[in-house]
Amino acid sequence: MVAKPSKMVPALVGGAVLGLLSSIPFISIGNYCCCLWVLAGGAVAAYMLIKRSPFLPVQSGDGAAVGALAGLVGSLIYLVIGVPLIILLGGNNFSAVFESVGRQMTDPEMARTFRELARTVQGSGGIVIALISWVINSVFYVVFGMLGGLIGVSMFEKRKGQPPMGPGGGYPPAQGPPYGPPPGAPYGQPPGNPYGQPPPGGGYGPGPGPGGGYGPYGGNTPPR
Amino acid sequence: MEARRHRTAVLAYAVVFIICVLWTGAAVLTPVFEAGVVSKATTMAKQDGGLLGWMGLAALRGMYHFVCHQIPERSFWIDGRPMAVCARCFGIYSGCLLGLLIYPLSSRFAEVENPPRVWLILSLVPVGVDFLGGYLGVFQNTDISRAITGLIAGFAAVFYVMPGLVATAANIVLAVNSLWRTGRRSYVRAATNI
Repeated sequence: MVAKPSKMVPALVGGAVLGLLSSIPFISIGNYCCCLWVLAGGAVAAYMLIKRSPFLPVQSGDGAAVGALAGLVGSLIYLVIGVPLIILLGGNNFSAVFESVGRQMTDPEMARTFRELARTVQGSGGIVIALISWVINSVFYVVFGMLGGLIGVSMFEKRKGQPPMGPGGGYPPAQGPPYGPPPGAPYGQPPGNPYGQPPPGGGYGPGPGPGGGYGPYGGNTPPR
Repeated sequence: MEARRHRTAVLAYAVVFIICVLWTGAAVLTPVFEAGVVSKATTMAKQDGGLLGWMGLAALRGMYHFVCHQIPERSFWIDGRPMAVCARCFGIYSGCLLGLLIYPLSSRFAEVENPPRVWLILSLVPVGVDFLGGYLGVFQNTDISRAITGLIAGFAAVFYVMPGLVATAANIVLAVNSLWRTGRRSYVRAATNI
């Protein structure tokens, strides 16, 4: 039985891509295009998962899971890097939101009110507002990360259906027994050699006797 | 087994369809809502429900600000007001909705395998050409071109996203069933131990 590869490393790498691109000012505006960096982070996570799974084809459900995990990791990276950057640079998402709302208002008085609101929000309550903005962002990161993972599997997974069969048929050999060592000790040692006595003279090298036993490693000794 | 798979697919489809209708509908109807709010109260200071309306409107437009630049010059307008999303995003969401309407009619409804990826790549080419052409100044794209190329990409994306969502829904149903069975068993065990 072949175990599925761990999703942790792909999720961390995809999350790092997502979180860093979404945190850096100016570059982060890519997210205004249908959460582009979030989709990209999910797709990177799916790509890594496919590369780490040499035998089993990655299913789209696995892509969704690893993409969502990448979104979660990315939101944590955004909390560590993006939120402090926003606070340090004196801006926050809510200010941008009110600015945008004001821009879209056709009523001039309302547009002015929202622009003033944007300026007010920008100057005060930076940490709280940045944290609220982070919570809302996190929801979008998980959802769009999942979509990115799904699209990543569609793009990069060429294998279809069941895992490929090995030369002897069935799954490739697993590393060690999957369910631990076989029970033996609790039932005691079996009496005698379970495989019977080796035939005299048969098997490897000469039979038991003086100078007998199994021959040296490396095959038969050359004739002298 | 087949019936259960089909039930899960229907469940996943229904959830995705409702979310897509709400998401696209809210983006399109924001200008109409705004017109209603404006007619009801012209200033936020009025205490006749106008404040709530304006805050709701701000929340609605603000929600889409997390996923779209919302530049009014690049958006479709209804009733003299811009939509909550740009023309390209509107095209993508409309394409998704159209794809979801057609999806049950296709033979792939309960499938968890993706169709050949060549169609997905081909569907992304027009939106890429339209964006790059406009960005590099090769040609001037319009709201119509942005919406149509977005619609093609959104329509195709449904057929690549839905199988995964069906598989994910199946996993969730399986996990919930397993948890329920485990919980019930441990409850029975605890009850019998007493």
